[in-house]
Amino acid sequence: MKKVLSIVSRALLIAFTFLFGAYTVANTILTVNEGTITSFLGQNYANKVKDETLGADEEFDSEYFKSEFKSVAEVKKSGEDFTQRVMEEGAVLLKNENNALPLGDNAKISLFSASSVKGNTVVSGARENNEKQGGTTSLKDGLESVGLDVNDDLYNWYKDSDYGRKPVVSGGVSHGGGLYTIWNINEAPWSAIPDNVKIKDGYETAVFVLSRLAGEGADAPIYGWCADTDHKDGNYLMLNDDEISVLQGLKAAKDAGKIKKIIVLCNWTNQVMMDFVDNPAYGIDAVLYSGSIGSKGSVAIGNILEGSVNPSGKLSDTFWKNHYLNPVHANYGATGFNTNGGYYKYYGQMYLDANGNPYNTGFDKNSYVVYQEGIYSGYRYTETRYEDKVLGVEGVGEYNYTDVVSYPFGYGNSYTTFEYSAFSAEYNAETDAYDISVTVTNTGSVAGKEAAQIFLQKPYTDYDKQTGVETAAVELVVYDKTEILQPGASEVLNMSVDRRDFAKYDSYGHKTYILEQGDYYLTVGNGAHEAVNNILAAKGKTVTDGMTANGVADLAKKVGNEITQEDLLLYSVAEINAHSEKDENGVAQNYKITNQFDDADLKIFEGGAQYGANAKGGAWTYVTRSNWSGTVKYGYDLTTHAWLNNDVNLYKTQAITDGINWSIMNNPTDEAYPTVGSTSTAWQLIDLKMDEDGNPIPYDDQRWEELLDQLTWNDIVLVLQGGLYNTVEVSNISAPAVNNYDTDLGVWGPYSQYEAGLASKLNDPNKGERPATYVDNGIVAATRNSDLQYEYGVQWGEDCLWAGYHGLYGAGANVHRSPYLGRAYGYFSEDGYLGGKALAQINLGMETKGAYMLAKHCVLNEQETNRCGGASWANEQSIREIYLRVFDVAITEGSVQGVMTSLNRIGTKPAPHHPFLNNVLRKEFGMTGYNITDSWMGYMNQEDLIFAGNDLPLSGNTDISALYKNGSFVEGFGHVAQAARNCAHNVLYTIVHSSAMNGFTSDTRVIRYTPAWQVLFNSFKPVVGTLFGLSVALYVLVEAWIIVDKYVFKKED
Amino acid sequence: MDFNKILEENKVYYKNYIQTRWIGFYALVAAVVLTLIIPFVYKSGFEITNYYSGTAFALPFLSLIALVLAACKYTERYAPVALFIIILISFLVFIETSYMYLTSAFFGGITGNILKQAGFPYSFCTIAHLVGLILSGVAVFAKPAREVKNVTNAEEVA
Repeated sequence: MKKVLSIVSRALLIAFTFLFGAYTVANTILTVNEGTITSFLGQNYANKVKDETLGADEEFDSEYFKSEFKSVAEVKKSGEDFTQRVMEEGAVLLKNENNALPLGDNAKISLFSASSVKGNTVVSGARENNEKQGGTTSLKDGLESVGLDVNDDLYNWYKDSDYGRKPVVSGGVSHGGGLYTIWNINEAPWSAIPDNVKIKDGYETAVFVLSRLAGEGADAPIYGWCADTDHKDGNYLMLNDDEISVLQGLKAAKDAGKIKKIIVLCNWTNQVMMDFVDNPAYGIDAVLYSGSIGSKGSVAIGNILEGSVNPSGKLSDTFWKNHYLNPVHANYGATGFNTNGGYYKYYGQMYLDANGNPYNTGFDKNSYVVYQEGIYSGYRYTETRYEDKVLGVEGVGEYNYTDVVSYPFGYGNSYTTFEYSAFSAEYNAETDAYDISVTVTNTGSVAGKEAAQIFLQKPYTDYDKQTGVETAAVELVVYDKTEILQPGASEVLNMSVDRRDFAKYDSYGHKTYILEQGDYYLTVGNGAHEAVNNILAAKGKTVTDGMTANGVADLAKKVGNEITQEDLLLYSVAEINAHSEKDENGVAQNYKITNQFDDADLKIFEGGAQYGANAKGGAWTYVTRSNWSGTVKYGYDLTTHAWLNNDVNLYKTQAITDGINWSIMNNPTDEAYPTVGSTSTAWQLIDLKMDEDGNPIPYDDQRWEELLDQLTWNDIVLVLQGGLYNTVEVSNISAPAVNNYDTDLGVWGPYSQYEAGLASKLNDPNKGERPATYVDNGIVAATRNSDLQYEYGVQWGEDCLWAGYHGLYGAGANVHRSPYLGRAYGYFSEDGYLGGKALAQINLGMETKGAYMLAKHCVLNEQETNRCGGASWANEQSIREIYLRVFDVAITEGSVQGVMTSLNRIGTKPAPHHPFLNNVLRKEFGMTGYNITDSWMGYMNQEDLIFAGNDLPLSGNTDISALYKNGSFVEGFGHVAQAARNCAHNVLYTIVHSSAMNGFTSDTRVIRYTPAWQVLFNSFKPVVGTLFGLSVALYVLVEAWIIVDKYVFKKED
Repeated sequence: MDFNKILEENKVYYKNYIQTRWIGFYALVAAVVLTLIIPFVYKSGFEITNYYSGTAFALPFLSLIALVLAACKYTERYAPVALFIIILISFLVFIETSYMYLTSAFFGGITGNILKQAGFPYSFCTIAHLVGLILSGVAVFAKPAREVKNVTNAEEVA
């Protein structure tokens, strides 16, 4: 009996102890992730009800944002059609010799390359590419839909072959290279293609589809990384031997008269080195750049090849002839601190230690990247050094432009020719801007569109040289595009350039924007190179001085005569915005702009006491125009970083734990706490949407203060709990929850995602379908068509309305610093202005449908490698003029509501902990929405985020337990509490202007309750506790019985 | 008290103890050894991260208590239960401390590649805890010693 009881009691004890422990931990984890779980299960926290007693106007139309469509089929088709329209205006004709294009009606073509087959053709970024092929029109179908005749035998041979991207696993190290990327090319060599298939009578045009695919999580390999794949020289962005064999084979076939034309279709968002284009060994007649083709880009490509559409796209990036001559790559990719000396070697997504074994770097805490090129990335490097070479500037060094660049930024060809004339640029004191006018004439024989791109040259003064203010030869400042011009027709394009854009950022002298006296030039050109040539022509230079072509002096206007010495600091203050502080008379004051990123600039970063006595800075040299040959570096030269390894290694550990060891919660103050729980007003969130006249209530309206006063601490905590794609309801002010979609380029989750969506509300039979696959953002920028970008944004907003999303965590807003950037498909350009302008237009379109945008990833996240915690170092001028410029334009011109911060650190400080969020994004740019982190990382903590101005974490876990205890904020942290209130303001302001308010009127109330899963889980609590208690009691009793029997009654078992 | 006699009895007891150890005991020792390795691996992988906790590091050392209990005649029978509870608590604290690590690591989905990147320290600590629980569970029910004829001091002398 005792024996049986003993066994039973032990078994029960073990079972129920395990159950009790698991329940306890699960309770903790589920509680902090309750929002995510509730959303995942499709359950709710709240009901939306009408309070009939309030007597609201029943006739009032509370559908503030309406769709233009009646069904999922309609809205999806519209999106697909947009991908065609955008491709038709964004595809860039790079080369067209001997009128190889257009092909004309019913032309017969052979598609070469495994990438011509659906599944291998790049339609989007790597993740979307894998998952969304099914909903796209294949290249073959697209071409055939416009009447082109595609060689079926060849297509089917590729389709049935094993060629095309395949994952490679070697030595246990996946070459997946990130979340979704496959790095090997696996092209069919010429010799493998049967002769009777590759050459077919009548099919005289060969289209070689040259693809590369990259995506989130990893950058394309260079310098031999992933060398055992089929790359040539371990470089993913070169033609490999198999591809070369096909081009050589085609050339031989052309020479033999078996085919007549060789056309290359560039199907990539990570540009291959373009040195092959003019290589006589390949005999390429025409090159069309299409980027990723989305749902129906293939139809657009068909129309362009066939000739019914005349291409009018302009490159969003410099197309390099040789990536090894891009100085960015001296400081790109994986650079790691190593406490044992030396560096970790990058190997796909893994690192290898000295013995060649994979080393888990965790959250890239040992990694960094230095933007050593300063402002001179992309065309700012290629064109500036070119101009200095022509001008014979001392120190320019060896530099041959034609060895470096194949096609310059902004370049784009056409089937017709255009001429710019009557270019004028006049300062308008009333608007403080330059009024630009240019006449564009179609001088060719077919109709077409042309974008006029205006470039600005600022003076590079002696002060600049002495102080380290760098100046590019040209910068894109505005653009516009004509309507379709018939042959001989003209159109006058009028534009305006804000003179604020003439200012430069002076990182080391005045530490703010300066407007210098000197010669400024405004010019128009088919790309940055033509623009520089026009300016050089205006300076009296010709091809005899080393120019690649003569410019047109009349198209460059010298301006800026009105600028005086007194104007030097004219733009050193921000314009008045919602965050401007007010003086004692209530008058808003301009925020004084000054350095915010000294701690990210190796030239002046001195660490500080917390980094130890050995900390030092000042040893770093950025690329300078005054000494090209001495400062530009080529190749991946880690030795240049030796001192950094020694010194910054000292900071790295503490830096990565800044968010842990350094915390605002270690610094209590006696600052007053804001008012909470006020009952003197009873605003509901809907009341702050618009005034009696239907005008939006501004962010800084007094009514917001009153509503925020009404919030209890618990309400504020509820607002701050949102983050992982949703916010939660606040019943006190009847604030609804919002749903967000994480994306680089539009929604691609199913239309049925949320009940709030029209697809679910109408129970549309196609609600399970996904929206269109959108083309990459580089092509969107390449359209140079602001109206089209706006309409594109409206379409994104429609997708949100139908799928139930109120905002996007996107679009991508980082800069194409390098062609190897894995996530290039999600970003727009190497130029901050161009990217910002496109984002602005898209957001303005989205807003009409109540969808908001959180542009990402802010900031200095120009590589995927080491993105999670890697330290990005850059100087203030390059940050502001290149990398923050996108966000600046998007927010100030496009009222983009918020941003997603980046995973990398800025200098040693995690991006969302950095004061630039409050000082730059809000006080300078006037951002009124909210910030969210990227995926939650261990080196962030919520209290510091709140204080720094980052409103929400992208996490189901919002732990502010150091600040919020027992229903109230802890003593001594009024400053953090005020910041938390500001966060609530930012989030609520975003929500009230979103489609989440559809259906809300003044009598709508939100009632919160506990979701069903929580009720069920909590109901087990007493059961689990009781079982555990009883099992312990039983075990103790049985053991006591045994002991008593054995030692008191001397009985043995 | 005859000290020599007590000493002699203990010598015999522990001689028998060693000679008669059986599955339950070996499972217990294996669980303790495995558990003692955990904190060192945990520390090597997580010491400078947000997922490091002194409590999670220290708890596995409590498994030594189970060894002490197992070595003592009067407490031997409680050692496996104590070990099971210690390992369970250690495991739960480890999970609670580090589950956000998984949330981060698996952002974007659980794949073979991501699992590899979760890293050896995390995988080891998880698996070692689970194996430790199983071994201590075995120890709870399995006999710690073989049943042999009781060898007295007199018999041994004869």
